[in-house]
Amino acid sequence: MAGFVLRRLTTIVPTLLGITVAVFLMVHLVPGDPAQVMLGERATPESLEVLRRELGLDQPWYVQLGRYLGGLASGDLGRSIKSHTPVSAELATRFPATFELTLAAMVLACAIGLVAGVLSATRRNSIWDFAGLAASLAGVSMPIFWLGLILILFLAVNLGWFPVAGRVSATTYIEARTGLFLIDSLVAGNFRAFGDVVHHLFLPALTLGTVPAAVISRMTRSSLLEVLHEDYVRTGRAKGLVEWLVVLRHALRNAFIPVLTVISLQFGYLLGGAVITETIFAWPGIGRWLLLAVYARDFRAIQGGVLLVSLTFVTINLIADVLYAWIDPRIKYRESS
Amino acid sequence: MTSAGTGGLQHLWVRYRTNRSAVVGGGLLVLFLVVAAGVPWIATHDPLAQDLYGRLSAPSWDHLFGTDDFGRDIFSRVIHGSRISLKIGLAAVGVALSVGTLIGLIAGYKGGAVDQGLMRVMDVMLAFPSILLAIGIVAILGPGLNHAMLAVGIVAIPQYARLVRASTLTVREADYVQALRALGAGDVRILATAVLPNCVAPLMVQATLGLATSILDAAGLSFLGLGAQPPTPEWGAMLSGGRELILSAPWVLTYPGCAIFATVLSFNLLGDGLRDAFDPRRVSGE
Repeated sequence: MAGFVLRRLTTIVPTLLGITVAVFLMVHLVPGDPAQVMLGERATPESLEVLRRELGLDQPWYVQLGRYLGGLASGDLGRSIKSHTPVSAELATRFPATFELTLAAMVLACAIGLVAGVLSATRRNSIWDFAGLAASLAGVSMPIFWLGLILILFLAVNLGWFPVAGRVSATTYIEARTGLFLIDSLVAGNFRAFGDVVHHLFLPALTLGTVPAAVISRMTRSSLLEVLHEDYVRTGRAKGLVEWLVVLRHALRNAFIPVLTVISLQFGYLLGGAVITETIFAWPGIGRWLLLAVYARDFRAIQGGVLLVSLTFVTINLIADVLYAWIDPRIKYRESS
Repeated sequence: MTSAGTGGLQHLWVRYRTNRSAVVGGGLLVLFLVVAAGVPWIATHDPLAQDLYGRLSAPSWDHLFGTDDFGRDIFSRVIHGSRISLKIGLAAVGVALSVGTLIGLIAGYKGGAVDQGLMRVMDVMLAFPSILLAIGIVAILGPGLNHAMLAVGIVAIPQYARLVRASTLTVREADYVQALRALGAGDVRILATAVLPNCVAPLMVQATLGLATSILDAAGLSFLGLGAQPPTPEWGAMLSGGRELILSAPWVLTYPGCAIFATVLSFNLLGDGLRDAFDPRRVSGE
């Protein structure tokens, strides 16, 4: 297994390098002068020259790329052009908020999607199945920025069940250790704060998790239907296992590889969708910050933010790859042969 | 699929027609196209005309969907928005389909270093969350509807490239392609007459579902203020402009949202139906 993980790790190195260079080039090889953008139309040629030299923009692009990669190796992502704070520090304070939201959305999506998918497949052509199919189709067609606003209107404003925005109430204090408030509040033994965090997390996570829930449910249904008539499932039934055990232990485990692929790919959707969800719910994560950076054309911040989110996505896909081999050992052997 | 002829088409139509969700999707889509074509006759007001005395009036006979904070008729704006959404979908899918198909054909047919190089670039593009890549592209090009369409199109290129490459790889060594080559056919002719027709079915499905995704993504970009700019009656931009009115005038948000949802739903239903019709195994295999 260690060999398999190592081999996988080496295959993502070119992708990581590709992403880094792509992000760099995306920001640098385009017409327009970042210094001009920063200083505005009325900047004097002298001040532009000074700023260009300060940012290293007077150097050829490959020198800039070299410097950027060198900086990356030591964790230096440069300074935000707008706020002049180190980009890495900004990311470090905001990333946990995005990560917590993404994970919560994925947990909700998996819970809803897997249950709905299994119900649909095991009760094929029943009213459950049709309801599940219709709901999942509606889910994948849903503009989440609209769904978020509707949820705020009904569940937060009209019914008052959930807070409208933010990560915690103003009166709640949580000492940030990991930055993941769910964990921090538990570690501190502060269950009231934990409840407050969950309360704030629910609506954004539901908004963000709707599309993945629908996709997971569709994939679970179709992939489970394919294996439900296999011999080993019949054998499970024949030896007298109760139906839910047959489905969970024999069918779902074998149907799970495509579902896992979908789950890992949906993380990409979640990390991207976080930009929209964070904007709607005033969530202090990377997504909203990145959007503000885009408005301000703060290229260092954009570079750092996009890079971190993409690296997270690649890492999650790597973890999924390792999980495949754990669930289905044949993959590991095929790879090594 | 290539030699299907009219008999094959009829068979396809029968399979499509018996798929209930596909028929519903097709119906919704026809409605959408009729609305987009009939904009001048259906819209009751000028979508940009402001009426500051009639701001935020609730739905009524005069304003079916009410008015927004500038007193503009929301019904007419939603109707006009259908054309913009159709344009977005077609342009984005057009970019993705043409560039992606070309890359997939070249990669699959040439193989070797060309294939490796092109597909690694596609891999890197897929390593970005798609909406984030689109935001990045718009950040560079600058906000605006055309740039948003281009960004959404560029982001989708790898999907088409992978699809066409896979199809190309399977037919490249087929006997009839070898036969064409032996007869002295050039690369372009082989690609156009033997390879490309094999990709048509999966591409049609992908393009239909792609229309749904691009309309949704472009509306998302407009919602974030990176796509269509005010006062363009684009659905995402309308939602963005109406955000603050969620409590006082919910109708400002309701109808553009419903329009996006119904349009995306119709393309998704149609895409699913086409996939089932092209691949009977999926229906019986389930």
